[in-house]
Amino acid sequence: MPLILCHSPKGGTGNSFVAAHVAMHLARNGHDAVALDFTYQDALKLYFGLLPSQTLAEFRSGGGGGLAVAGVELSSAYQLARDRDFVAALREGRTPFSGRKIHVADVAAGDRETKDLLLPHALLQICTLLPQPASLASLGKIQADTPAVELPRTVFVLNQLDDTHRFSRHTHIFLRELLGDRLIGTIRRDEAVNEAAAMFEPIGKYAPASAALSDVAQVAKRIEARAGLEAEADRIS
Amino acid sequence: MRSDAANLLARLGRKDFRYREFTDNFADMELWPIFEALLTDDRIVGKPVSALAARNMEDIMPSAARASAGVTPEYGLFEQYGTDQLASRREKQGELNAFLQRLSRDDAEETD
Repeated sequence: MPLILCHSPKGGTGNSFVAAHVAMHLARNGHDAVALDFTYQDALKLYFGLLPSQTLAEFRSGGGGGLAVAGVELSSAYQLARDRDFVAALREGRTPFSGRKIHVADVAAGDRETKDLLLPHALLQICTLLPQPASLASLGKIQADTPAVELPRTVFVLNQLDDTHRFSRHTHIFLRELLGDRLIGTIRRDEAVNEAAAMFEPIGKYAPASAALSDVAQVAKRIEARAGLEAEADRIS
Repeated sequence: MRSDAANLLARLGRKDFRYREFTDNFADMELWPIFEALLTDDRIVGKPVSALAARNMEDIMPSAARASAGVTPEYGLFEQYGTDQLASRREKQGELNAFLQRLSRDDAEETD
């Protein structure tokens, strides 16, 4: 089931930024990548260099209709997650994420319903954390019935890491030990991420030497490998 | 100074930078109460350690014990998470899990 679910129990951690760059990485590696924005905020498109006023077409499971940006088919899925037939299909185990396309879903922190709906259909859940107490405290809220360190298909990304700050360094060390290889990578704090979005440019164009860009590229590569999609990319090429 | 930083400064011909490395190992790491709270939360670690055990970071985190004993950590703060290091990560996760299981056994024996 080619779905990668990006959801963090705490908002504002950079979930959409990670989702956008995972989708762009997959597209660069020859996958048919679809990025689905399940959020009301509708901010995923900013990381593709689009304007807030640009409206995305609603996702159709048959494909098509999405806006092609950076090789990714970008669609809104906020209304879809509230569509009775779609919800019923997912609950019955029928997946609309069929075929060879890889779907990357950006789900808002507060929208646990959509997250729970999509999770059984996902290859992997990416949970983005910040080196901040409120974000760490949310580790207990990832899934009701399974401890965070035992979630089989969840990987963690520590975003906005700043080694000049003591708590940030200590959080990195602590999470590395607590989560082991589930901590799939870190992304350095980098103002270029904000500046690029403010300029309506992808960060790769606005600041190609950005530290965050190089880190998120590494993270995306490891996510592709962890989801078992590297072999698929080799086959396609 | 790290050699890559020294090389970069040499290439740039700059001598007026102040150099500082922001590195910590476990021996330097403080056990912030939030870390202790996470280690004692069964929603996070499954079988949580006791509050007392959680305060002893060196017992819970084997790397901390090695660092405080003067053993060089196996990896640095700036390392990347390459696949070649995943085995090392799994080993460390195993150590933590083993410790938590040992604590659980000890607790069970004490209550018997």
